[in-house]
Amino acid sequence: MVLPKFEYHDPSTLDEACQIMAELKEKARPLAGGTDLLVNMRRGTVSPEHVVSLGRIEELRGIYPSNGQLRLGACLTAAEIGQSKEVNDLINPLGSGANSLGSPLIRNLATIGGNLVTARPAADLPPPLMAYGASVVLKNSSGKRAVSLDNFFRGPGQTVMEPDELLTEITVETPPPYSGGGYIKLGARKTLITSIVNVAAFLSLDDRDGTITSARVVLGAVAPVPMRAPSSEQVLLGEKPTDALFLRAGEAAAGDSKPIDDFRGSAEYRRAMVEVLTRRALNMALRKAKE
Amino acid sequence: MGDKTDKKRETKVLTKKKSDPQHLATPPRGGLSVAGQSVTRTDAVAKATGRLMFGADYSQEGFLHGKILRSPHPHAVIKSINVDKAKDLPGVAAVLTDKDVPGRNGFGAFIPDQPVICGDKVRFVGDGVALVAAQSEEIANKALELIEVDYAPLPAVFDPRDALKEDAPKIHEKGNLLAHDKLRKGDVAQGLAEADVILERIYEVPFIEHIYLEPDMIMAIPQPDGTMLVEGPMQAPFTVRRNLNAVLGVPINRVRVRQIPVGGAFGGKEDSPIDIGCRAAVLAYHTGLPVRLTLDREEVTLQTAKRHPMIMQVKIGAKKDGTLVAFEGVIYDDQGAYASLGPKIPPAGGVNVHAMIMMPGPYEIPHVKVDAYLCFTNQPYGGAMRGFGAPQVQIAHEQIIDELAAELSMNPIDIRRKNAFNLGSRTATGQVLDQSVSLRDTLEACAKDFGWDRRYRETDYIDEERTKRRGVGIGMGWYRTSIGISADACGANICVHEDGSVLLFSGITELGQGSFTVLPQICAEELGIRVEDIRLVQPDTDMVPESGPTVGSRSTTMMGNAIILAARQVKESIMEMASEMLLVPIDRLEARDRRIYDRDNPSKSLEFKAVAARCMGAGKRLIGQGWWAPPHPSLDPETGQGNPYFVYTYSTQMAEVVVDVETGEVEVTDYVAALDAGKAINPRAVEGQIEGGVAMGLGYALMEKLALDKGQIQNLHLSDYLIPTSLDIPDIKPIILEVENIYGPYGAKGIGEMSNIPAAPAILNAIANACGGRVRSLPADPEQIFRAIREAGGPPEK
Amino acid sequence: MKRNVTMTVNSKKYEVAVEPNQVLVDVLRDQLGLTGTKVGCAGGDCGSCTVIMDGKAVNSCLVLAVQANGSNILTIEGMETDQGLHPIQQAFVDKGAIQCGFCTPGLILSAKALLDQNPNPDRSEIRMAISGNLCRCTGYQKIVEAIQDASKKAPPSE
Repeated sequence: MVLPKFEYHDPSTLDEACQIMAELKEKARPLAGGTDLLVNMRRGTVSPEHVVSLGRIEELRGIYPSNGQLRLGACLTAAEIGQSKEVNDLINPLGSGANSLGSPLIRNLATIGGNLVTARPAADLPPPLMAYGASVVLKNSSGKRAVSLDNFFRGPGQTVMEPDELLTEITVETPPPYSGGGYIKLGARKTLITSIVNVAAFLSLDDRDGTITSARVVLGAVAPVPMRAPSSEQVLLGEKPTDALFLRAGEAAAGDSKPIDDFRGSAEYRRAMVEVLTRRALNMALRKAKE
Repeated sequence: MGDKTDKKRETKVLTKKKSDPQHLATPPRGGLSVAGQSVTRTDAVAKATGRLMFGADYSQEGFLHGKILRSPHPHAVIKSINVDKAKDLPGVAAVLTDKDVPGRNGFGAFIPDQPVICGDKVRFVGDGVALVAAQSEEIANKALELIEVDYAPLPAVFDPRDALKEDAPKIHEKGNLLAHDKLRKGDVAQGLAEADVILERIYEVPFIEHIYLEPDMIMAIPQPDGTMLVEGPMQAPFTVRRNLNAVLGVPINRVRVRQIPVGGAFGGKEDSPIDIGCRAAVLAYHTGLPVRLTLDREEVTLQTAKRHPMIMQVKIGAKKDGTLVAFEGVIYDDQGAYASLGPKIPPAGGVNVHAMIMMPGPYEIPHVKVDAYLCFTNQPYGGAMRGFGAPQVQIAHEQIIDELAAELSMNPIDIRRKNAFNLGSRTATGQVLDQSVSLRDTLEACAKDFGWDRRYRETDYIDEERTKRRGVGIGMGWYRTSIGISADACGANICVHEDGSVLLFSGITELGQGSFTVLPQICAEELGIRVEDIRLVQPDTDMVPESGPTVGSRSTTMMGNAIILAARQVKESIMEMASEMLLVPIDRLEARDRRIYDRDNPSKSLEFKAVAARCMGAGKRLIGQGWWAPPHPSLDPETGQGNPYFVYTYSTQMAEVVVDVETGEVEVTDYVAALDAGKAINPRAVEGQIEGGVAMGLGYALMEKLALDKGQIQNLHLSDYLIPTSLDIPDIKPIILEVENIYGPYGAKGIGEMSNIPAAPAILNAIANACGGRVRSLPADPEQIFRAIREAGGPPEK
Repeated sequence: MKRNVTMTVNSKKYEVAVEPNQVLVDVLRDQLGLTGTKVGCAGGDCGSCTVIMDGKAVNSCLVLAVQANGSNILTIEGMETDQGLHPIQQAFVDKGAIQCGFCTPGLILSAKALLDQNPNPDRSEIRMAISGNLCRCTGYQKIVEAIQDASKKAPPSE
């Protein structure tokens, strides 16, 4: 297997890494799990002159629950996320998403940061994170900024990150009581599969049997970026959760989606699946919310 | 004087007794002690420890690296090619174009119509236009980029039906119709007139890839004596040799081909080593140095042979009670750019004619008409893949039988019971099945174990929300042992040494199916020794008799027979000597477990090796040769009537699936496969073939398809061409039946392909039963099932 | 520019000079001579290249050799001991779980990683653990049975 040649850097601190990125900018790519970067390098879609490994930077691997927030280090692996008690307690769909990413082997390498930065429309982690209103911390040598994931993706493989920035952390506000989420992935086989469609939903109720105070529906693989389904969320807000409501929310989500035809599936089918999966993800979220 | 001598000679030949087939199937008098046992595979430990070396594991020292420049166009004229810059790159040893091929610039498993290096035009994306040998892979890749080719694209053809049109672009000189094979039995018009119900359907299957886990590679090593040695993973060393010598322009005996361990083949490594072998050999010829040519996963998918896609039109007529009266089939068989194994190898070899023969299914039908059109297109070429035309047509006949059953409100098992072959049945080619017909046995054994009656009654939704519905389906099939060509035969040599150790020379290759264990088992059984006493020599065309390819489920049966005959020849010496040594009449002697003993007085015995040593000392022959050819195949070229294959095996498989009727997702939840092996020489190995065959069929049914867009493959990566993982397959229950084949070693017949064939049909039928929607164009992926349910007006009420 | 990489492979310390663009599986095979680990797709889709790195089963075709600096790696060659085959290997042999053998090393390593973490897996856990390892020959049936068998006999993890 022949990868293109590059120069390799492996800083031991985040500051060091930022310095290198400041110098090299678009000539460099950060390397975490390598499950996207190495594949893309081999396929020739990307050929960086410099690769900056983040593997030695300990602080990028932590899970930091704190006041009202859960902070996840960008280099946490999908396996670590999928097996984390904190994640599964607070953001259960993120756990599901992480556990359906790739294969058990891939999950031991692939990172949450990498899954976001590679910005594939069908990626598993953005929808659950967006459903929980997550934001990311982007750091460079002059400082850092927080960007909501809703505004993070610009197109397939493209984000708002500057060439000298590193994604260091994902922040999720602790969800209120009587809330829950669901993530569903539809693929042509049970594992090691790119989604045909995926959907994440989040519901928050004002009490156990009350009305919906907050709703987020996020769709993957049906647009150039993972997208919120605003019409669907509109349908849900302020209403009492019923089968009929979820049916309408599903239809609305399908209307919001912008799928294309490709060898994995037709736009028509994807739209129909958005409806089904939205309905089901909402049911999952409701069940969780009532627990 | 010539006349008299000739008459004498003629008489001699006529009275020479041919091998009595009964003897091959008959076990030793004391019963079988080695064959029939689930002996541990001879190569299992080496594989479990990683010590067994595959081609890519061999040292690369001293080898040049070979690479192929391929056409990016599906159909184009090569206006010019300039290799100067590539040749000048430091580290490049050779850059070759078509004029550099020393002999015949053409290769092919049967018809050598594929250029080693294209000169005038290219016919598919992946066609080779130049070859490079360099000191490293990196330099070779760079050299490829420096070759300048000027193409003039030509209009191209991507559908076999388009290929047949008057104004279709001609892919080969002789036109796009490579073969039209015909089968005519009875009078199908009359049959249809007599039918109470007639169904017409079209079924389509796509290009399928073998996805053997080991990517292809080959090594061409010029020998000090001027001969060329080519070694690598392969299924057909003699076919490779036959191409190499022509391409190099030398006699056959100046080329040597050697098979090394194979990481999966499934028919794909019948062709691909010819392709890369000829190319590596030409590079080695020019450079005078060893050349190693490897393909990465994407290159394997791009350039090697595929399972033929087919468009199958079926018209079936039956009486009200389900009795079949007429079957009319038309197959548009997409051969792709080159002939490979598609066209007829007389009388009944080749994918197209085999598909034609198999198409009506294992059913008694008085009136049958099949036309199979084999057409060139500008797409990857069809070769051999497990089943060789049968998987495709059995998807058609098993589905239409089910559709007919539904039309007649019959249980799918009953319509099969009504029409299935019996002993004495006449096939669509008019062949009388006069032995080893176990179809009904497999059907009943499978039904019983699976619990067909109960499960068929209980198909229903399994969840309260009524989104998941369970259903069951049957796939019943038949398959040949052998390849239906006049040249089909096997030879084996056995050398016994004075210490009792044995060398076995056989041209059958080990692909993972277990031949390197099963064939020594047969040898050990017949000689009366142990498997570990035998070393099976790595198949090498310099050392083993020409025996044809390891394909068509022929190996155990045909090579097994040859081995028995070879063993018997050596055994003559052993038993004669033992008789002298023990002073016991020869017909009272038995050989078993390294001893030769008097059946009437077993304590009177000798060690096998002691007898062997005496034979050597007495100058008695200790080498045996066996040659076995089946009864000659026959098939009339106009009517498709005859006896194409000498024995068939049968399998019935039943699947239970749960379909998510909202998304179209399928889970196969249970599976039983009954298969008749004639005699299972190694039952555990037969189980392994059943389980693996079912898995491959599951992939075919649910997820496999090469997506082509104007001749360009869209899903070259293994992330995009999907085969089943451990989570996609349920536990599979294999049931082995043994209905003796009189022409097989201890009654055995071939099973490697039969195991695979009924799986896709069983699953497709189960899906239709579960959700009411029928997918007639594979794969039945979630979207296809979703659409089928919609077409059926929605999922079942209950 | 070459870098020196130190890694412990099968309990033996190695120091090798590697280019940054070399992946771990190629260094194991070509420089350390450990050809038991196979390359089936070079893209993380087949699992033939599975090794256990710092206790985790990974696709070694997706790890740069330089990233493996300082790590502890187990390959198929490290499974057997002076006492003979590892129980997982023995189970694969005895149960007929090996046909062509190309996927076998990767599967054995994935099985080891599973049993080290979960000594008594049920069949669905076994199927999940090996779901990143493709096999085209066996249908996984006897592989699952072999791993289940081995779980009853495997020694405690190191």
